[in-house]
Amino acid sequence: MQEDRTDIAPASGARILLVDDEEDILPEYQEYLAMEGLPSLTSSNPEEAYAVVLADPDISVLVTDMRMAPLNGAELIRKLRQALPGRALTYIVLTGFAAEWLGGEDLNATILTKPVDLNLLVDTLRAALVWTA
Amino acid sequence: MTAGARPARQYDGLLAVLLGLVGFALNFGELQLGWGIHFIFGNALIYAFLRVLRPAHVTLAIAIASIRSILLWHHPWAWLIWTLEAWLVATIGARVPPVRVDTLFWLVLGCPLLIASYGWIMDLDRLSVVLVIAKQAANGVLNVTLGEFLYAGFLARGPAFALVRLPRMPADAVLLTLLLLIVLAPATVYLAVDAPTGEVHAREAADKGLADDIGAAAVTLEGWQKSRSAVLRAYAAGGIPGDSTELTEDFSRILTLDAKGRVIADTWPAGGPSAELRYAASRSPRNLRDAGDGLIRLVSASAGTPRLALVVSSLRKPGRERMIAELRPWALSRAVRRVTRGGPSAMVLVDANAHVLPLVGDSAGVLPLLKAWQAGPITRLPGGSALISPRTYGRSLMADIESAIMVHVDAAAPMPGWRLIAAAPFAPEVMKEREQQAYLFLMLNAFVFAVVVAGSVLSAKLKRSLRALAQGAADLALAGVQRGRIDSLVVRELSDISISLATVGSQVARERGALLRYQSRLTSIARSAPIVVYALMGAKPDESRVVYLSAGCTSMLGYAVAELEETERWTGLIHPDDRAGYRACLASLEPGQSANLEYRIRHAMGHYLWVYDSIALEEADDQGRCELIGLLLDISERKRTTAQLAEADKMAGLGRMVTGIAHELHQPLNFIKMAAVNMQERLKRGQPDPQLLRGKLESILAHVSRSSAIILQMRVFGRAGPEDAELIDIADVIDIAASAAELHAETAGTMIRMDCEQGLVVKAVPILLEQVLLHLITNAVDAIAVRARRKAEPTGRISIVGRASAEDVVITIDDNGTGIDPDVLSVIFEPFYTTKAPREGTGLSLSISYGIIRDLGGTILAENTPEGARFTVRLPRQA
Repeated sequence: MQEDRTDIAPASGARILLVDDEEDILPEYQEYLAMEGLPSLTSSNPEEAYAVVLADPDISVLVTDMRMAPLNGAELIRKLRQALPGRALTYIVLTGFAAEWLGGEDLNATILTKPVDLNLLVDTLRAALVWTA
Repeated sequence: MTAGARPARQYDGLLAVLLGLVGFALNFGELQLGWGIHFIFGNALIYAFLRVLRPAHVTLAIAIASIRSILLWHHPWAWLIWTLEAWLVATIGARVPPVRVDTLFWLVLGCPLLIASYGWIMDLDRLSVVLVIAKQAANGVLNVTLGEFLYAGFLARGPAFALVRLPRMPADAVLLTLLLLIVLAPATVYLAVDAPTGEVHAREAADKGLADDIGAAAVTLEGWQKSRSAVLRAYAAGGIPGDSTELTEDFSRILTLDAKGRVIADTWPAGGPSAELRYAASRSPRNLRDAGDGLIRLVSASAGTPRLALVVSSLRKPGRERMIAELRPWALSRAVRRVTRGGPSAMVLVDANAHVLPLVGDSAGVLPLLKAWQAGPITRLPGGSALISPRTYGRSLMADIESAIMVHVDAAAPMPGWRLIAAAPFAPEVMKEREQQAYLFLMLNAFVFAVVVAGSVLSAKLKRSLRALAQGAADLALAGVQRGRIDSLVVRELSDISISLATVGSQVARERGALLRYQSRLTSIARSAPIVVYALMGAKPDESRVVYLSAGCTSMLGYAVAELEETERWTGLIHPDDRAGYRACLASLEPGQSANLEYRIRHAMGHYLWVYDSIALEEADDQGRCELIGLLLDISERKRTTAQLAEADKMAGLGRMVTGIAHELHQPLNFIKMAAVNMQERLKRGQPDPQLLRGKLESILAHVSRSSAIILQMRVFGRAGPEDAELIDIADVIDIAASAAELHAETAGTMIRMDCEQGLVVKAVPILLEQVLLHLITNAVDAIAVRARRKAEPTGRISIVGRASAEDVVITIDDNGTGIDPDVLSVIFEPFYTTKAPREGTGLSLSISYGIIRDLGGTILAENTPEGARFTVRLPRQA
């Protein structure tokens, strides 16, 4: 895990972790956020992402897809909250099925629908980073 | 009897004559009841045919048989009365028990007729008339009773004698017959056994008197001889004068002879010596010498008339050898009569020459009898007694035995050369016995009458009871109507039977009522329920005919019941495509089995209805015929609904798939957008790295292709409308279904693994089969998702395997999901059964799948495995 983390998180100091089981999309997100001045880490495996967050205290914003196996976004968030009760961590969910979650269980997370409005994503990330700084 | 078969009525007359002759012959074997009384039984045989022959023929037969009575008794009266009896019994006996008729006949007609004929015309004494009446009546009743008993015997013998249909005997006739037989038979046997004994006793009694008289007479005669001899010796010796009364009283003349036989003294010489006396004198010396001891003996005076003399020899006076004293005719009688006092009717002395010397009574009637009885010399008669009658015992008749006499011959003669015989008429003894006999017969007849009366009352009651029972049984058989009351019965068993009959009757009535209600309920159901019940009967379903058709066929199918009663009409209504299936189903059924099938049947209006037919085959009788009962339900509506639901389900499935596809399209679209935005940004910022852009463009194109593939799949699945069944490779079907489900499965993180043999061909509508498999895979995916949601488990796996079995293609779909609740297994293929939330499924998919597979002639089975659930689909394999 530690090795994985070093592999996928070359830019130290990054405070954003992007999780999506669709591997193709992650570099595009990362590239766009980088162009906006927001360095980020990526992970295509939710379990790996969980380990990264636990290991890296710098990470303060988690952007995750909802439908993933073997851990979906909601489960990942719940698990992290459980594991890190005192940590200031902002969760942002990207989902194609926002309807599923509207009125659903309270994740206490920002939910953005896919295809994501990138300006909104960047604004939300900036706000989160400021708030958790 | 052999000629008496029903159609050959014309031989009945002949049969009657034959019977009469046989009866006549039988009548010769009469039964001796003593004292000239007989029972004859020939007529009993004829009475046995009372129910078989016509009255006229019975009368004829009896008239012939009874001719014996004329020969026996020399008068026609008995014959007349018996013939009349037969006519009456035969005429009325058909309705009333013959024995009762006969008893009444003797009481009302027979008795007066016998009095008139025997009493007035033949002038028989009163006792004899009474006896004759009693005896004839008893004989008559006995004959009818025996005849009835014989007939009952025929009946009891059963088929062996049933050359003609023998009319049954009514209960009262049987009862009366048996009662009378019980009374008459022992009485008759007793009389037959007792009669000879009675006669012997009577004889002994009669003989005892005679023997006593003879004994007394013999002693008297001996004494008389001795005393008179003494008187004669005294006279010879001159002790008494010649005119003393001792001499004159008994002797008419006394001759004294010398040794040479010369008369030396004559008491009354005036009369001159009679030739007879001289003859006696001349013969006596030798006779006397023969006698030896010189005792006094009575000798016959001559060979002709019985003139007797007392000869005294060995006189002890010189010159006087002997005396011959002629007896006065009354001398011996007077002496004997003094001691016999009129006991015997006659007493005689008989010598070897059959000279008879009457001593007592009138011997005139006795002598001819004696002569007829004993042809030889009377001196050689054995001592003892005998009953002398014109006929010997056993063949003697009433009149003969009455005129018989009892004789007794002395054992040892009181005088040499003479036998003493006493005779008395037997009549007094006979009369005494007859009195007893008459009494006996009268008592017997009284008994008979009493028995007939009592038996009639009893049998009338019995008959009523039996009739009531028969009526009860008939009622029971007909309508099960409960009899209010069955007559009180004399016989306990009958009473018991009647009670059970009444009980059964009420029970039958109750059950019948229940049955009727049940039947009307069923009829009402069959009429008003939207069903048709039909029953086919026959050895084979093909050869059967419609035996029942409920009224529902009018309301459901529009036909009148009568229109469909031929089987061909019935099966002809079935849709041509379904007919073979129907026949095959019927042919495969074994008795006791049932089956359900669905087919189309033509309505009278011309359109087809879908019906659900629940048929059961039952063995109807022991000839192997079977009854097939079918119950038709109109399921057209359901079929329509199901079709609509299937469509709805398909749409729902489509909807689910569209959702999945939309999600699936999100991914490439999202990527394309991101890549495009990044390219745009880079161009905006003036960092156009061609290498980077090319890579991005290639990625974009790849994602566009992926999107197209997704849309293509949707199009494949979105085909609409039923297609014709065609031969398809099962591998293709599995491929399409799996790829359609893959999107759904992948998003849930489930792996689908396929393993299918090549060349497995089935005949099916492809889209339907795809739909089935898709349903099954989707269910598996959902089950895995549920399980995954509950607890973290390894990756979901679905394994689809296609294999060939002997005749089928077997497709199994295994998953490692939650498995199926055992309670649910049994209902899992029922419509609308679902474990899913309302938005996730209609609950129809498995039911529809089941229908589709069944329509293809296959089966679908659900079971649990250690890992999860398994669905097995079997389809007939095509070559």
